[in-house]
Amino acid sequence: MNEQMDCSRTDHGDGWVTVAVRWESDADGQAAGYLDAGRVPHVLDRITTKPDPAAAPSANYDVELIDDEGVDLLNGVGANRSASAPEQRLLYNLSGSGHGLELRSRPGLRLFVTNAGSAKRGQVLLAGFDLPQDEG
Amino acid sequence: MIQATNGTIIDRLHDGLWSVNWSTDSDGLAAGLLELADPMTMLELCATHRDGSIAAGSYQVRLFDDWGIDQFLGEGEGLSRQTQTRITIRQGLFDPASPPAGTFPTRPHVLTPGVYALHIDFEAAVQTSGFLTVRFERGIARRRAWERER
Repeated sequence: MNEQMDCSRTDHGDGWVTVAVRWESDADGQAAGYLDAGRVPHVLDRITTKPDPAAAPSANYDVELIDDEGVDLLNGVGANRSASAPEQRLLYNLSGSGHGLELRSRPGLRLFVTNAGSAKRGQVLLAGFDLPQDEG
Repeated sequence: MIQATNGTIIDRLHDGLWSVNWSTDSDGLAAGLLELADPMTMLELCATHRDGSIAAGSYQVRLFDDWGIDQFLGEGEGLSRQTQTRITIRQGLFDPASPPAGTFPTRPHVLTPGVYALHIDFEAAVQTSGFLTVRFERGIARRRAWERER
């Protein structure tokens, strides 16, 4: 992660993983950082966003998860986040199969926050699970 | 065990079945805190309102995580006061920007370990009682299997 984001992973047992990201936007209202491939869950089940009431972002700020080809893997689900309330979104892969979002084989993942206003803060929580070594 | 914060809550946990007797306070609320030590996959919520004399309207059962997100996924909203309600707690297809066509099977929903607040919510001044059960499995095996088998 870069200086605009702080990332911490928690292993809860049975392979269930959460990754908490704290972000602070720059003067352009953006924050961005790389997510270490070894830290994100293999399969992402959901994403939750939480604005910091002491430095609340602008209404309808956006969160994207960009792969190394520039594709938003959230498929727009992270757009238009509430500036006042936490929100949870369940994630499905882009093929429409209903599976969670597989992140295991995706290098160079970056989390982007945009349209947040200058020097605003918030958190993003990624929740999902790791796959056994012999699976997938 | 749930630590009651509003009204009365008596709960028991046994073999993947969590049962809760509740009574609301003068604000129409029964609530309590519980801590989950391990990941848990929810299967079913069954809610029963006991007092047939207060049959009109609805009530809400919610399970808030520490960020205030209802992890019953809104399925406990608008429950009938007249009938027992049995709900499968599964993730539906809610909000991708461009949802794929066709019927979407739902996924099992996993609770992350942490502190949760259970709320059974009527409007103010409705003092009543009821019962709910949550069936669940410890761990995330069912969620994993869903991903693998489809």
